[in-house]
Formats: sequence, C-alpha cells, structure tokens
Amino acid sequence: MLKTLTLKGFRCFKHFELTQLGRVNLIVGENNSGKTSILEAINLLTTGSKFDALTRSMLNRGEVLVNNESTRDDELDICHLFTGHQIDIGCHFKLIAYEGDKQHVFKAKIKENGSENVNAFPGDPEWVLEIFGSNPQEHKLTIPVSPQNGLPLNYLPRHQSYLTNNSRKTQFIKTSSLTSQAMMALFDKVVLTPEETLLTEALRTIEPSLERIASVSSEKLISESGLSRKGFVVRLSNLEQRIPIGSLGDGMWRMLGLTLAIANAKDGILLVDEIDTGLHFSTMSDMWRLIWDAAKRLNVQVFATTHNSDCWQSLAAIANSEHPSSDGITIQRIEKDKPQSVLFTERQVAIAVERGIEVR
Amino acid sequence: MTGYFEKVLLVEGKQELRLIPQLMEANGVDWGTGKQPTVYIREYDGYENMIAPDVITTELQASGLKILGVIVDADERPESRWQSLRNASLQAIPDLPESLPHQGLIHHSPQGIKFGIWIMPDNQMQGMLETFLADIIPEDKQDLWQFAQQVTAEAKSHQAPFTDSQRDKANIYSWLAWQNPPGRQLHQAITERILDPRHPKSKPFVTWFKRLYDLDL
Repeated sequence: MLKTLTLKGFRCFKHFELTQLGRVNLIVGENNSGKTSILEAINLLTTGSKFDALTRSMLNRGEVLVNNESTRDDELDICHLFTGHQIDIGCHFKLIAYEGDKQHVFKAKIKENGSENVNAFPGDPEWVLEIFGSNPQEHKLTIPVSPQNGLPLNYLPRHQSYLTNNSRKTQFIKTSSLTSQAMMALFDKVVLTPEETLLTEALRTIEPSLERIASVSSEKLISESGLSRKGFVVRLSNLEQRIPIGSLGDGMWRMLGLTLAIANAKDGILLVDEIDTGLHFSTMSDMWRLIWDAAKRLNVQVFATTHNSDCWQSLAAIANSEHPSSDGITIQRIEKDKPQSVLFTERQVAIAVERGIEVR
Repeated sequence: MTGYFEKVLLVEGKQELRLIPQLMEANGVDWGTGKQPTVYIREYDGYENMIAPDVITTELQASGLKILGVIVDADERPESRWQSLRNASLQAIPDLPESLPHQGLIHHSPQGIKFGIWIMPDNQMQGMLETFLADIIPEDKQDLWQFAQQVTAEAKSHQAPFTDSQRDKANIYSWLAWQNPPGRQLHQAITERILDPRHPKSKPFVTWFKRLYDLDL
C-alpha cells in the first residue's frame, strides 16, 4: 500500500505531501483545492497506461488545443500540468509515492530539443517533453512540444507500450467514466467469478428484491458512447420480466460502477472522484461498509474525494476508535497553499464524528 | 451536528456551557446567535473525556478553526491537573510552555492556531467553577454567604453526604436556595445579578477570555 505521496510542481501543488495513508483514504477540501489532481497524480504513478491516463484527464478538463482541420492533430495543452500554468526550458514536475521501501516516480521536464532527437521529429521543434518513471526497464521518453506549447496527440505512445512490468490494476472512477462500454468491459471480467456476489450484494442495498444482474450486448452499443445506461438488465424477485438497470435510478448505476471498479482492482488501487454522487445518505453507509470489506478482502487501496457531510460521517461511523489501525481509514483535508494535508487518523476520525468536529 | 467555527471553547460540563456566555455578555461581549455564536462551546461531560488521547489534537484540526480555549476545574491538585492537560496537548503543540501563567495561558501553535487554557478558579488554587463564583458574590450578600458556609459545615454533623472536595458546590447552592427567586441555577444567578459578573475578582478571567478570543474592546 502506498504510504506517502509527494507532488512537486504538479498542477496547483508547488510542494505537497500526504502522509500516513491507510487502506481507505477520503480526501476533502474546498472547491479547487486540488482534490481531483491528487487522484490524477496517483493514477499517473500507478497505472499501466500512463499516456491514456494523462490524455483522458486533460480532455476531461478541456485542456486541449483544438486543431480545426483534423482532430488527429489536436494537442494537449500541457502548461496546465505545471504549477503556474506556464512552461519554459527546465520546467518540471515530479510525483513520488512510497510503498514500503519501494518508490514510484513520475517525472516530466521541458528540455531543449537536443541533437539526439533531430531526426526523430519532423518540423524541428524547439522543445521536447522528457518523461521518466521509476521502472528500470523503461527508457526516458521524449515527445516533441509544438510551437503552441502543445503535445500532439498522434505522437503519444499508445496503450501499454510504457511501463510493462506491472500487474497492479488502478481503476479511476469519475462521473464521466461510467459509460456502458466501460462498465460492460469490467463486468465481463467479473461474471461467474466469486466477485459477482459482491455485485449483487451491493445492488441489493438499494433494491433488496434484486436477484441477478446480467449484461446484454448489442452491435449498436459498441459504436455508441455517452452516459446512457444501456447494457445491463436485472431480475427482481417479484417480477416475471427482466428490467433494464436504468429503470432503477442513477444511484443504482453509480453503485454498479463502484462495485465493478473495486472488483477489478484486486491488489491494486481504486480512485473515485466525488464518491457521494447520486447516493442517498442511507445508501452511503452501506456503500462504505461494502467498500471497506471488499478493500480488505481483495487487498485494494482506496482513495476517494467528497464534499458531502453525510459521506464523511458515514465513513467515520465505521472507523474504529478502540482498535484503530495504521492500515485503516484516514481523512485528509487539502488546504490551498499549505505544504501538507491535515491528516485525521482513524482514531481522530472517530472522535471528530462523535464530537461534531468538522473535518472538511 | 458539525459546524464551521473560528472560535471554540472546550468545557467540562453543562454549567460552564450555560454560564460563560452570560458572564461574558454582562462584560460587554456580543454573544451572537444560537447558530452563529461568537464562541462555540463544546462540553465534554467530564475532564477524563477531554484529555483522552487524540481529542485535543482532533479539536485543533477542525476546519476553519482559529482559536481554541480550554477551561477545566483544578479540583484538588491544580499542579497535576495542569500537567495532565499539558501532556494531552503536547501531541499537537509540542512547544507548549512548561508552566501555567497566573493570568491564564495564551499560546500560538506551530500551525497558527491560538490556544488558551484556564484552570478554575485562578490557575493557582484548588477548586472549581463554584470557587470562582463564590468570589463574585456582591458585598450586600456577603453576610448571607458567611451564614451559608456555616450552615453547610454544620450540615456535615447531620450526615450530609457531600464530600470535602465538593464543599464549594454545597456552599453556593445552599446560598442560592435562599435568594429571590429561590433555587436559581448558576447561569441564571449571573443574568439576574444575584452574582456580580462585573465584580473586580472576575476581571482576570474576563481579561484572559477577551484576549484569547480577540474580543478586546
């Protein structure tokens, strides 16, 4: 499990540290304090497909220089990855996560386009972005920076070509990532495994009469994307016909997504942005209990963000004040311009909820 | 119910919870409203709960907090009470001074929170809140007060069960029983000026409180 996370020069964090991380870590703080950036940093450090991760989060944030003639020539507006939103030669950011005596590193630096790259990139760019990670098998990767200070999408290494020796899975859930396609891919990995019971258990917290869930694929789905909730049907004990999962509401969809993600993160990491979205406070207690049990059983380390009062309080309700664990629950508050998070250990979380002390 | 409070005070029990706002309002402090008090008071139902591990650390980490005060009774051993309170606070404030000033402690924590301690009655003697209140009995009620103390002492020979360490409480509640109206609670005694909140002997405490919470006028 990751114990400490350090961010230097990444997005709004000139120098920032989160320490004493536990198995389930809830990150709180004001709007725009950097909570999502922290999840992105952990994702970059631990995921197998780093450039997919980078591209997806930047596209989400609209940090793209759009080429009106061809989408293939769109560029990532990388200055926003660096503190201060400006880039120049020598600008760099560094992410470090400590896990026992292992270190995961992700470094990115703007350098002058040296002679060794001269034939590699057409158009002779002035600057390149140099990226390296902690895996010794990896070489440094160099990508040209366009005259608009963008990173051309068609020069990024695709899929698993970077960082191969890592069987750890990192699952990152944002509202936008819960597409039918993504969910069905995750479901395919879980169906008829022991983890499928986790799924039905989770959904029963919202609809107790749910007996079974199954996916139904169609040609149309493969080409469609978007946020419609196609692709799954459920069987309720009091109904003959199967019904689409969308009939059961937004919370059910979120719960399905969360459970599929954690089931697919065995021995890895689950990242969830705004984990309370779509969930009633009574559902949240069940959700935390499920996540806590699954995280221990499947050896998953969980990082989530929230603004919601019921959300942290229902997590705090399962914090153990008598026998707190250093591998247990933490709440970390991010405050702008402070170099460290305000850490609430498991015992402090329990005290806070008992005494009505506000952690957010 | 959690809330976002800049100024918080921790007290041992409901008596302090009700009394402190009355005392301070009588000394010129606007106490705000129920939902937005000038200082939010949290009572811990006993000293032991307040100094349990991590409690003061957690309080100091509350979101939005700027000033935290603590008021406890000295009871029988003021020095050991100071030591145990200091030890409980060291986890979060390692540079807390070694001795408690007579005018009460006000200290800036490394995280920039103002932290204050007052040990009733006066940071030096044995006693409790009721000891402090006995000192602010107005002149014109002193005769009755002397009598109340005599009578309470005499009650011991009639098998009155209160212990010696509780004598200050027994005294003041006896005296309050004979006021008009009889049997007022401590905080009511302040509001109705049966006790004098502006008595000179209340000044050190009132001054400490105002300085701690930046309520100097």
